[in-house]
Formats: sequence, structure tokens, C-alpha cells
Amino acid sequence: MTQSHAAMAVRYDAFIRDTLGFALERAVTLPAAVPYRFGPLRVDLQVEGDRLARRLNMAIRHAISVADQVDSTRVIALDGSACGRKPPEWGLPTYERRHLERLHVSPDGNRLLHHNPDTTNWTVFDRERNLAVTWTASADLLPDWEDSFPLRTILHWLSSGHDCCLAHAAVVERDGSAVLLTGRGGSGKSTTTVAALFEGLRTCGDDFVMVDLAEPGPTAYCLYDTIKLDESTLARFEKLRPCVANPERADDQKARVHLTDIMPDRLASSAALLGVVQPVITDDARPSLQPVSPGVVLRALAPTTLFLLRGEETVLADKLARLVRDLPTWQLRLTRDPRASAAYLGEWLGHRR
Amino acid sequence: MLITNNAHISAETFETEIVVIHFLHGTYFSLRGAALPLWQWLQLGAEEPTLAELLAIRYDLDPERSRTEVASTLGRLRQYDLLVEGDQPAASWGSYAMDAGPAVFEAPVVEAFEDLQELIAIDPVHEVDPMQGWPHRPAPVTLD
Repeated sequence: MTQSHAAMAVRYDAFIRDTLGFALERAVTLPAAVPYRFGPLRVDLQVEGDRLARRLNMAIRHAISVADQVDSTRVIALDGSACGRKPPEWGLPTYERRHLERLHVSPDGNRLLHHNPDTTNWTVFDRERNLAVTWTASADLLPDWEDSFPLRTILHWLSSGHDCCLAHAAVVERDGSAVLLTGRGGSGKSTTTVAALFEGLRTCGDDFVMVDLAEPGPTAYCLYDTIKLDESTLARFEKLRPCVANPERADDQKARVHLTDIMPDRLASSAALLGVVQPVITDDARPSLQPVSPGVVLRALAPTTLFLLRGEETVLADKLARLVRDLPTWQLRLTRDPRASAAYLGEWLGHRR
Repeated sequence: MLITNNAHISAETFETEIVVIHFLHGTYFSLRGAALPLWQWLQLGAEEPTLAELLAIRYDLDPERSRTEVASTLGRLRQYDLLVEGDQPAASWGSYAMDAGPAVFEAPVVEAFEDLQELIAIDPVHEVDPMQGWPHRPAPVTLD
């Protein structure tokens, strides 16, 4: 780092310190923290602003736990319109390419900062103090999709210090065993997951899940109780339409349902992973699982996860690679009938237990 | 010399391919065929002439063909920012695995996937000389 870069880095450190200090001042006046548990991660969340609290809590209600401050990370969420101080716009110097993404990671990796200019939202994490802050201009300005994966960035940064990681994938579970379904949008991942629910299976989530790599083997944990459905999937499962939590969404946004509200028995808090599966839509008459090289599955899993979760990429990439090396990898050849494919997956899980 | 851009990429080696992900550009790659041993030798600090020699020995290739394949592959890797200028001590000759990659020569493949680039939100307004700082918002940061 050059001398001028070092001088500019000081401004980042000062900004992080001031933001954390401001949040701690506000926290004194806030209601007690609510403890959440996501697999090996524990978070105590304090929120300023009723509207923000509702939006943050909606998808993670299922994870409310008992207080355990010893291992917990303190997270303070501030709504600028509620606390009387709006977060500043980005005004920090640029001396690394990552700053063009409004992302900063201190050289020792202990302090991370991200800014979303569209919502003027700041996310700040100090690993040494085990303290994170998310500060948004107004809960009303947060886009609808934020309700699907609250605290995602913080959970990602927090997980990098543990033997776990977030994965952009769905989990289909039966009797405690599960597969991780991974693939880009349109691969049939979410539709298969929804169909699985109608076939009596369960899920740990259809978008982002937590994967713990520690012994006795990879385990998936539920982060969010949301299922996201595009219009074609919703049309296949009309029973879900009255349950959609965002009926006034924009045309290009997916519908969202919360399993806690509509099918709490279909939400699995955790599951032992038997494999990583890449679904592909085919014209086959019958669904089937075919072994596929771990490289193919890593290409389906890692880039989309890494590009949606910024910062700590090297650590995350290593964990995802470990996952596909530790577990068998398959391609799930879907038919045009999602329920038939889901039923097949359920039978397969039943036999593999 | 050209070295692998380890600061900004992740590379995972499997039996028949290497998956490389470029964190900054939102691109990812599948390296197959003779690109496997070339990448592995590059990671050990081999320079272009050494790579050509190694490839010729590994697959009993005509030296000119080997040089052409290496030059073409390095060009592709550099084009995608998977190689950058830098310094790296070369490994000893015996360190270069001669059983890497397919048993029989297959032309090097560098397949690029750019379908997820839109997930990386870069502010193009500020694609400027990094030493110039943040030209449009010079005011110091305050919390007020």
C-alpha cells in the first residue's frame, strides 16, 4: 500500500469507527435485542424503526432462538427516518478497484464496509468487535426483494470466520436428508422446490441457505422462510396465489410466500446433505439423476453465489469447492412435469437415507 | 513475466477441468484439454518458453505446434485478466508435473462464461485513475 493509499485507508477506518459508534449510541435507546440462530451462527439483532424491524424479521422469524450472548454477533439495524439521521452518500476515496463496487475490506480482513447507492444503505462489520451495523435511509425505500434475504451481507461476512458459508441454492429435504439444488435462474431450481413441498417434502430455503462444512458432514440450515415464484411457477401452483406476501410487486419482481405463514411444517431448520444437484429442464419422459463432474456443479454453484455475495470471495470459493469435493454431484434431468420430478427426488431421498 | 492473477481469481482443479472465477469481472471459465497442465505449470512460475518446452515433452508435440498452442492459450488467459504481469520465481524443472491434464493431447480450451456479469455493480462514472481519488465527491465524510 502506498503512502497516499494508507492515508485514504484511514478515512475508511474512521468512517467504520464513527458508524459503529453512532449505532451503539442509538442502541442504548432501543428495545432489547432479539436472538436468532442460523446453524453455527448466532446473531442478536436490535432494530430502530418498527417498519424496518417488521421487514427484517419477516423471513427469519423461524430462527428466533434463546439468548446466548457468548457466541453472538451483535447486529444493529438503523432506519434513518426513524432515528433522525440519514446515512451519508458515498464520499470515500477510491484507490482500489473494489471501491468502484462501494466495497471496502481492511488489509487484515477484519473490517468490511459496503454501500448500496440506490437505497443509501451502509453495511459495516467489525470482526474483532463482533459487531455489525446496517443503516438505511428509510425502510420504505428498501426494494421489495430485500425482504427475501435480510441481513444477507452480514451473515456472509460473519460466516467467513466459521466453517460455514452461504450458498445460492435450494434445499429439498426428506426425513432429515437433503440435496442442494443449484443453478442459475430458470434452471428449474425454485419450481422443483415448490413442487417438492406439494409432494410432502420439506425445504431449508429456495434461494440462499447456510451450509455448515464441519463434521460429521455438510449440513444445510435454513436462513430464510421465503419461496420466490415467477408468474409461470405461480400459475402452476395457484393455491399459493392468495398467500403471496407482495401482491403489489412490480411486474419484473417475483412473488414471495413465507412458509412460516402458510406451511410451517414444510420448513426444515436443518438437513444432512447427501449431494449437490444441478437441475436441467429436459424433454425426457421420466426424471433421472445422472452423475456429473464436480467441476460442472461448481460452475453452477460458485459464480452465482460469489457474485451475489461480495467480499471474502476467496474464502467462500474455497468452501464451495470443498463442498462439491466432499459430496457426490449429480445432474437432475427434469421433465416438463415438476411434480413428477419432485416425487422422483423424494423417492430417491427416501432410498438414500 | 506473466503470472496467474491470484489476487482476483479462484481456481479449482478437477480431473478433467479447472474452474476459474474472476471476482472483479463477474466472469468464470472452464479450462480443459491441454489448458490444464498449462495452468498448473503457470502457477509454478513457468514462463512462455518453458511452457512450450514442457507441453512438447508432455504430449510429444512438434516444438512449433507447441509454441503456437501456448501463445494462443496465454493470449486468451491474458485477454480475460487471468494472467497479469508480475514476478514469481520459477519452480525447479522437476516440480512440473508431467502427468497433468489428459493422457493424450487435446487442444487447450479456455471457455469463458459472461452470463453473470450483470451481478457485479460497478460504477462506470468512477472508472478513472485510482490515484485521482473520488473526483466528483471530494467532500469529507461526515455522519451528519
